[in-house]
Amino acid sequence: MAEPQSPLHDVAVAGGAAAAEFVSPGGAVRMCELPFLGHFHLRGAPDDAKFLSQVKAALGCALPLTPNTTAAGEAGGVLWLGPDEWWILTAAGGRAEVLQSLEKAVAGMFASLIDQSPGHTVIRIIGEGDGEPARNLLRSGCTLDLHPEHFPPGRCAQTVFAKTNVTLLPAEDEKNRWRCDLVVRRSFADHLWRWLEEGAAGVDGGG
Amino acid sequence: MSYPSQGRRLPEGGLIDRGSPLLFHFNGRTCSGYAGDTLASALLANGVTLVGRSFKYHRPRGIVGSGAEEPNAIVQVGEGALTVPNMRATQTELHKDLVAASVNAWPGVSFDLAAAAGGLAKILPLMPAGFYYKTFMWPQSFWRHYERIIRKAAGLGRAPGAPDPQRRDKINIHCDVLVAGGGPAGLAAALAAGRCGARVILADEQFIFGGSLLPGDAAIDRRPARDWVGRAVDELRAMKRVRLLPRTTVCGYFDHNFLSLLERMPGQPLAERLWRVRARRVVLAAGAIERPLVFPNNDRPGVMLASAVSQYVRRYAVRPGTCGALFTNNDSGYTAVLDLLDNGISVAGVVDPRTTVHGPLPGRVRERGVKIHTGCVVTNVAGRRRVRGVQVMTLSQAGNTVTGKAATLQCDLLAVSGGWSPAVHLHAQSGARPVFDESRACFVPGESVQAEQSAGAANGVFDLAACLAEGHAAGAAAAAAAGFSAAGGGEAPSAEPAEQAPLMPLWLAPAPPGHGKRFVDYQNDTDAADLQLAVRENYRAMEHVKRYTALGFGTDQGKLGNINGMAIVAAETGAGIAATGTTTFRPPYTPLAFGALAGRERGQFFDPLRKTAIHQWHVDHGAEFENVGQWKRPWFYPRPGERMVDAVNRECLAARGAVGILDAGTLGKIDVRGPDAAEFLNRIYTNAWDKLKIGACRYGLMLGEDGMVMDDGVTARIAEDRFHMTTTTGGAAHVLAWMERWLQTEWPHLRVFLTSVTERWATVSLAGPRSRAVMETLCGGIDFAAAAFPLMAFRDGTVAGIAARVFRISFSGELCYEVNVAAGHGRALWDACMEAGAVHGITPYGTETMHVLRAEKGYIIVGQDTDGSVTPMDLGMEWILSKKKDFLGKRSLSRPDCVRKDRKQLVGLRTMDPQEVLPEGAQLTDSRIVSRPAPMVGHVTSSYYSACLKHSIALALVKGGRARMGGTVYAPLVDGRTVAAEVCSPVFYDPEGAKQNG
Amino acid sequence: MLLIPCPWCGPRDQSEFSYGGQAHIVRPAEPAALGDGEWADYLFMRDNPMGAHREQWCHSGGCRRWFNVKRDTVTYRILAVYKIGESGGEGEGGGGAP
Repeated sequence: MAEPQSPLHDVAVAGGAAAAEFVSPGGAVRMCELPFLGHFHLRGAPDDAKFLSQVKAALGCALPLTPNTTAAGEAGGVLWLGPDEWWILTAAGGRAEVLQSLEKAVAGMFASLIDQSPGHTVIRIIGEGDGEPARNLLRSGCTLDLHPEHFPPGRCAQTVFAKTNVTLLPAEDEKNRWRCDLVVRRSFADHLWRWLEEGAAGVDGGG
Repeated sequence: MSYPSQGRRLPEGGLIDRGSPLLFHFNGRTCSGYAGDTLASALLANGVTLVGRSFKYHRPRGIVGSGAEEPNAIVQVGEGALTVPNMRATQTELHKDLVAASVNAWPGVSFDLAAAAGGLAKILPLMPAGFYYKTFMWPQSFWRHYERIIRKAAGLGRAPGAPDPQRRDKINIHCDVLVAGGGPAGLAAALAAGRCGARVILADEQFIFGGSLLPGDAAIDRRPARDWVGRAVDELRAMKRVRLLPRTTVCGYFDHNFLSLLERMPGQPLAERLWRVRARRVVLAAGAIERPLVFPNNDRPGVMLASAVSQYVRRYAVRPGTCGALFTNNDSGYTAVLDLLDNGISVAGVVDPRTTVHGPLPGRVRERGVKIHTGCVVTNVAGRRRVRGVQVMTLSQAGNTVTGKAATLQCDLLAVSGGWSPAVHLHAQSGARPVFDESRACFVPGESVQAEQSAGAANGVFDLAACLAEGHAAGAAAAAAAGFSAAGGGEAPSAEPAEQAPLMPLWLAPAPPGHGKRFVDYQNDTDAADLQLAVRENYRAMEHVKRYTALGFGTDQGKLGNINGMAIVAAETGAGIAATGTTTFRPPYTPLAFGALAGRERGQFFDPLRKTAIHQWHVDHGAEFENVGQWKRPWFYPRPGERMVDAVNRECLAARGAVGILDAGTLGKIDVRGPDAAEFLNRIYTNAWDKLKIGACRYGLMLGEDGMVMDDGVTARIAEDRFHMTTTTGGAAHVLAWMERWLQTEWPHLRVFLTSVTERWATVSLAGPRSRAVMETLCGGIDFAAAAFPLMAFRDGTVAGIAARVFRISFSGELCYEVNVAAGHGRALWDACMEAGAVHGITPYGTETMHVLRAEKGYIIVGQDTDGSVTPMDLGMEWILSKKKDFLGKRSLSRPDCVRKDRKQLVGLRTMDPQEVLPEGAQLTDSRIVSRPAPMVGHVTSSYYSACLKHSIALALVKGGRARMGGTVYAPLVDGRTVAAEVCSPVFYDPEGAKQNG
Repeated sequence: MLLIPCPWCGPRDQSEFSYGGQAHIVRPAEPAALGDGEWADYLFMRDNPMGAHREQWCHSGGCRRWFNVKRDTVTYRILAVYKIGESGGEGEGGGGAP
């Protein structure tokens, strides 16, 4: 079977890299695609104890029941999307195994598990320095309060970003840099990438 | 480089950087100024006193103010594509090579044709209040002639002629406390809130903070106020949670404490950034605007607000005149006299209507030997293009007339002060109503309706010590209300209270008749007589008077003139100022460019462009694209030298004769899952779904609850409890939202989950008699024999080695397979199909060919052949309406209007001339038109040339259409021709369906 | 621009929401049993109060849940927010979608 193409394949090809990447002119904002992650869309009743426990067993962590929070298990991260809706993000490598164990966990239940991996991707924004230019770039696209006190690592939020639906996932990396992952639908990825590239030039000077 | 001398610049002083001279250009003249100047202060330093012409009378006008209130010095800044009209010279920071011109002077400021002819009022003989209504209403058709002359004579600046090359960002930001205004109260508020730990934004429209403290010599905490400003700004800058925004105007105050701020970027005054702020609390410390006085010829260049005189002398080290005078009804105006004297400018005298003047400030003026004409008013101004002197007369005992002999003061500068109006604009925009305070003779903020508080001069508090205390308290209170401990706010800054005697309200200075116009609104040339006339003509409500006289209609929105105007109207009606009230304060506070609001949402970012997984192939192969919703879809693939019609004809014939390939990835796809999935579809679709077999597909039609066709598509049963629904490309999001709404709000007991899987799949459609052969080459595991894999079935397998789901459905009327694979493999699938199909003449086709093929079969496109007013019966689709069950919209189908016999029905049209292609949207009539208006019987919804059938085809909605088969309708065209067409069945091609079933 | 407190996600900007019109319009159980007038009443007739109004909103750009908002149409103040099926304090419940 042929190798799949990521949603930003053409950006990567144009840049001569394996995956799309970008550094703003002043260096304050870095950006790259995290292609081929596992994106699993899970629906189920939050008051169904069997559903919760079997999914927990498969993931190694309980499904987060508090809105806009995340949980981390051995298999990957789990994002709350709605009272009966979660998004499971896993590394590209173990994708098939995680899907399989989840499928087994929800088999025969009133639940819905859909492998959305081919239809989604992640754009990672990394802020150098105090992260303000990177946050300002994201602030120009959405109306969320992105101050790290109000939107700390461990939280997630779905919002309208540059006129598309995006899920934001803030974190701090090993170099203590603020970063944020944007989960975006495939057909909007190119629009979002170009929008971010152009916008990054405007926030370099701080603000 | 040589710099022209600045003849009116004082030798020392001011907050300007004399080490940074700047050249700039005004009305074609090269001048010089300094960093720290505004365009207005630099013009004054260069001796430019005439900056524009008035709107109606084309009277010469000079700089009146020093900030947002300026009505006269309205300039066009920049050139070419980078130009902006309506900039206030008083708020335009001077920068190197700035180019500016007066907007309100055609053909020029100094020589003005209209003024030479005695003003526009002489060209157009009568221009009293309401002149538009009275003069130009009849005959109505003449207005366009009048308008051209009036616009030309008025001149409101020019819009740039080329696309905006300026980058304009918008940033959404949240804060605990937004402080609007960086004067003493605002700085104190920001400090207090910041020290409490709140996230603070402090915005000020000037390029340095300090507001009223900048020109003054006040002391705060027993040190010069300017030092305190510096320390306050340093302290704020060091706070990580405080954002300082100089050069930033708080333009608008909207619902739920949402405010918009316009920031001008330093050094590039046309570069702007719009901050969209959601604030938990707002402190309004926008200061106050000094009121001018209304007296004859009060618009002569050289008449200037007293506060502006102080600003120019002390902050910018400019001599606004060589000999000054003051006309004031309050003590604060006397500061300007002291500032002039301190800088070597003589003062001819002070005119004060109060009979006793005894405060400390007037006292200091008296000590300097300046005569105060108490109980007097200015009754005229000599000079046309520059003040040459003022006439002074004594106010009568009653205060409504003047008496005695007129005295003359020789001067070329008249400072005026009619008191102060708090800048209540943002408070009013927030939804609150300012109230009139008789004791202070000004409108002050009323009860707050949003989470805001006014402080300092914006709250009617004019004493520095009180401003600081109130600002500090407001900042601490705002922080506390946002959840921070107010204890951290620290000490309030302190100042010595200054004693000031009360002002004497003087809204309209009495003058002998015939002394000249007493202007209230400089920008619109509204004078006191206009307002009095409006009241005599029985305009009572202030909003009506405004519209009749144009008071406050200018780009300055009457910041100077409105309060005086209301008071004059109140005096005339006898209603009193409080009852007369204000007009509505609307955002923006000062004008802003549309570009600032648009930001980056223009051009390629106006709307997202969605691309399929196979997009790049289409680009590489020369496809022309069309937008379908937000999707970019290949429209047709022209070969070198082909016109659109050639390409489409070729693509159609290929699909009908061999095999065509279409990127169908944009179709909406929804996974419907759960034990009640079939029941749910029963309610959503008009037909029944319980008995659909696993592995089979069915066409479904959705109606709105009003019975009108909403969407359609094919849905497949994947498992007992699982369906794969497809929707139209444009309707996908709406259909999902619609179904979710029913599930969540009306049928929460149905156990169904809906999930959009549009993005997950890439879909490639192969249509044509050779499609089976191509499929058989590509996959081994599926039996493609007609009996084994019939129409309206699907099979899972692999295609070109890729896991795939193949649907046998047809929107073209041909043998057709739709192959779905994981989106990332879409391109590989497409490439494999092209390769395998090469020997069969595989031909990519776009949406235009898709439309032709389906129209040949009479298949509708929802949104093209329907428009939200079409029922299934109108389309001849009664067969799809279940009689056994209820479904959304069913009850509406029996409403009287839906069963009318003369409803428009879908039919086919064949033009008498087979080559004639009707335009889509063409109206249809029963006969050739003999008189207009002609009764219309329908319209064309789809129309193409069919290369396969060798004649044009059209679909149309025609009143009682199905009863007209064989009849003739007529399409009168824009070019004057009338085209006759025969009404026929909408199915033009293969009505038995042999091709698609084959 | 309103700040709407989504019952799940908390206060979010209006631009993340879509408006659904008057709340508590319940779809008749047996539409076929209704006269044309009754059906038209359900389909078309809506209140237009000056003051408190109960509306449906959907956090379409967020968690995609529908919910009810009691909002003052004069001041735009949001007086209450409650989930579908909840009464909102005054004994009203049920759905309503068209």
